[in-house]
Amino acid sequence: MNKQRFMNFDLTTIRLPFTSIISILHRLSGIFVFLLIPFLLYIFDMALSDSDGFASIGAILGNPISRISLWLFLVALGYHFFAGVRHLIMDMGFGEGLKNARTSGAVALVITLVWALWIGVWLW
Amino acid sequence: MRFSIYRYNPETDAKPYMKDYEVDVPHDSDMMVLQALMLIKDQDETLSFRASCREGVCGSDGMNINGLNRLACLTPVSSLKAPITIRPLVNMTVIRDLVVDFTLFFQQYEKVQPYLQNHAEPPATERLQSPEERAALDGLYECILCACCTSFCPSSWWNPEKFIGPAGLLWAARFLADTRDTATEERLANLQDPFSVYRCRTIMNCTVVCPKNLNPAAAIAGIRHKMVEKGS
Repeated sequence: MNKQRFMNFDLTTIRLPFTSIISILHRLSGIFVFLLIPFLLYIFDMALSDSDGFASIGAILGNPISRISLWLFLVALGYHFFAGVRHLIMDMGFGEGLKNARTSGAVALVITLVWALWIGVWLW
Repeated sequence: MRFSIYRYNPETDAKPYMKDYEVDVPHDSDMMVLQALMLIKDQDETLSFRASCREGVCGSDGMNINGLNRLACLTPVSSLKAPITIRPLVNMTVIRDLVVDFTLFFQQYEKVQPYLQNHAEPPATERLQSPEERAALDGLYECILCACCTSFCPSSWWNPEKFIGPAGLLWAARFLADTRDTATEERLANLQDPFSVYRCRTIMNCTVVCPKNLNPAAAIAGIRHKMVEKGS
């Protein structure tokens, strides 16, 4: 008799429904935004220190990698915000059915896409 | 048609493995997955699974079919892409093959006190409800406790013991909605901690997989609304 206990828990064998992908992205974007906050606070602090500090921010943000990071941060922040508003609307009792939840999830994604393009145009 | 089935016998196997079987499924057949499993059991009698009513009423044959939890008796083979992969319900201890341990699931069910509570003197006949009051139970009372939802809920994966899970909470909502039940305040107070209800993130996996087309996510939102109304 094998005393070891097993569970069927292998994420590669589970089909994730669309609404769960919306939810996972919400969580991941939240973690990502949270992790980038110290970096932004550092830049903010430098920008407020003196005119030399402010000038050096321009140099930092001129670097493509930091500019892409800033873009990713704002896109993640936008998605986290739009998906959060979706939950607030559902908490008010609207769109709690599966069909509406799928539609509102897709709307949050589309708005994020537009937001990402707009931020991209603004940054470059 | 090829079926790939999760096998594990604790008496002989060191660990679970997948085993392939071939079943002749005639073109345009209306065979359900449960029938296919019975044909496979004719080939290999060591295969274990639970089934009883064969028509989606008893809730015995919940399993993970091609990645989604469903009832084998209500899932037509023709609706699935081959090879058909059948695994036990997700995140539940496997007893043997597709048979899983429901102990924790029923403990969660028990926590919500799934029975009518009313300490008032019973009337001579029955406790009456208006048709509207009765209609408030629709979409809540039909649950057959197959565990497809709770076993597919990421919040239950994270907190299987502290979060009650969609099935138990659907039953909590069913008795909260019942005008004959007088324990509403106590029921809400029992669910007040940060885990029992509030681990639900409205991911809606429960609603996607429910074989009775119920919406546990909306029922849980209903419980939260009642908590706000009661100011608790």
